[in-house]
Amino acid sequence: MAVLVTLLAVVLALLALLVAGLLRSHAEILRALHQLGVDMDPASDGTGVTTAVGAPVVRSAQVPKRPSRTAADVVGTTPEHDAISIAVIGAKQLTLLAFLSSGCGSCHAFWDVFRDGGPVEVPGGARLVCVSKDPSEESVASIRRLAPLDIPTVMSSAAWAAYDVPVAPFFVLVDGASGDVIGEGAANEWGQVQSLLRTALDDAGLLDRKGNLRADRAGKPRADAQREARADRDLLAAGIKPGDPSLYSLPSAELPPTAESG
Amino acid sequence: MTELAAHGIEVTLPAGWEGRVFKRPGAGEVTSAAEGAPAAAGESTNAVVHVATIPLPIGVGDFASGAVDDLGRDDALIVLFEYDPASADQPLFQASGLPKRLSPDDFSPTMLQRTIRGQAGSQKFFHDQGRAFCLYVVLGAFANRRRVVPQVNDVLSTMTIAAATPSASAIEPTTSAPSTTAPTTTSAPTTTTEPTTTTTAPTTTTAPATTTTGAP
Repeated sequence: MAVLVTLLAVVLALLALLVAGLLRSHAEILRALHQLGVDMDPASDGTGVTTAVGAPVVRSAQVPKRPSRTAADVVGTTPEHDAISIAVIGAKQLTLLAFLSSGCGSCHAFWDVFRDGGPVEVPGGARLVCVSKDPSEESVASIRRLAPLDIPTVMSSAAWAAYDVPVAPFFVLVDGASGDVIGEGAANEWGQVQSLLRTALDDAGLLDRKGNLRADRAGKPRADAQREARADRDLLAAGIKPGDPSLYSLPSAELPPTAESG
Repeated sequence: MTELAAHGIEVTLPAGWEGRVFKRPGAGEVTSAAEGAPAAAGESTNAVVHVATIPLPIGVGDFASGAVDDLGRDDALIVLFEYDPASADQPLFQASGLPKRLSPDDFSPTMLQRTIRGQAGSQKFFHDQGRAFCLYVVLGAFANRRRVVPQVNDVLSTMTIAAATPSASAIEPTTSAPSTTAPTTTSAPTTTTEPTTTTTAPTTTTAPATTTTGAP
């Protein structure tokens, strides 16, 4: 009897040890994901993880450059089921790929900024492209609802694989001229992404001493871009969106006179 | 090299080119904010292809208004715009087959939807596989046409058009004469709305090459 009790005690102790180890491992995984900006808290309301009060916690993380990876064009479908290809390699400008999903709370913060935050200022004048997974792995209806008006959104699991995206949200900055990935990382606030991008641009030698994109890499004059952004903002504020019929017709006062009227 | 295929049209893009094959939302279809309003009842929409050496903005017009301003001196933009298939046998579209080899002499600074200093355009109306199209190409610089047009031809040589797959409704005869759906001039397009959307009967919601709503 004593032997049996001892044996059971040993088994119980081993099981307790096993459970403790599993819990610790689980906690470490959650902590790592949290640092990458992924909120696994089931109590989360899905509106993001940036509502904590107190000292700011930096949750951005640069991923060490992986030499085996090369840039690739982004080919897939739009949330409207159209075929789309975004030129990344060979493009004259930098491209910032934002890998987002409709499900993660941290991603919603970016969708909101890109859709409702007005013109998005991307360091280096990079072209911003949102990339979700294929319609077979994503909710098309959700992506349609979240997708910004003026930023291309491509549904492409192939792009996620090509860029070896480890987590969402994840950002990859590509220099089209060289075809190199010059920066990548995870973050849960747009400000953190901008900071990561500036560091990546600086590391790549693409910034001048004033912190601006080198003149030989600058694209459209900033004044033009700002003017366009202002016009877009004013039109949107007036409720005039792309495709609005009023953009393609003259006001009645400017219509040419009819035969009857003279 | 990337391949784009949707709505019965395929094209292979060299490095540095990007594109989109799409169809405006038809009457009654659910649309996203980026697409704008769906076509009015009784209107049909057809395939549109945009490919270019520049980043194509969202929400550009059918004939790429809103994008051509960004063309640099060595850039090009190709638009393939489909009209209602009922127009395919009209005189304007009597040329057969997609033009795959343009000449620098096909381009003129006056053949643009909107004249932009230095740019040049070319447009060709044709029918292919029972479908009616306008091929509209814009060069960033008329002066560089001899260097850029071969690149355009490289893309055009990969473009293929499949026969339209008639939907059940499209088999029904239409009540409007197709002549009114075709443009009446060979001048550059002057509007970004499809000419076919004003007179097409409600039953001619032909979905080129697909029977599903807008699915590539």
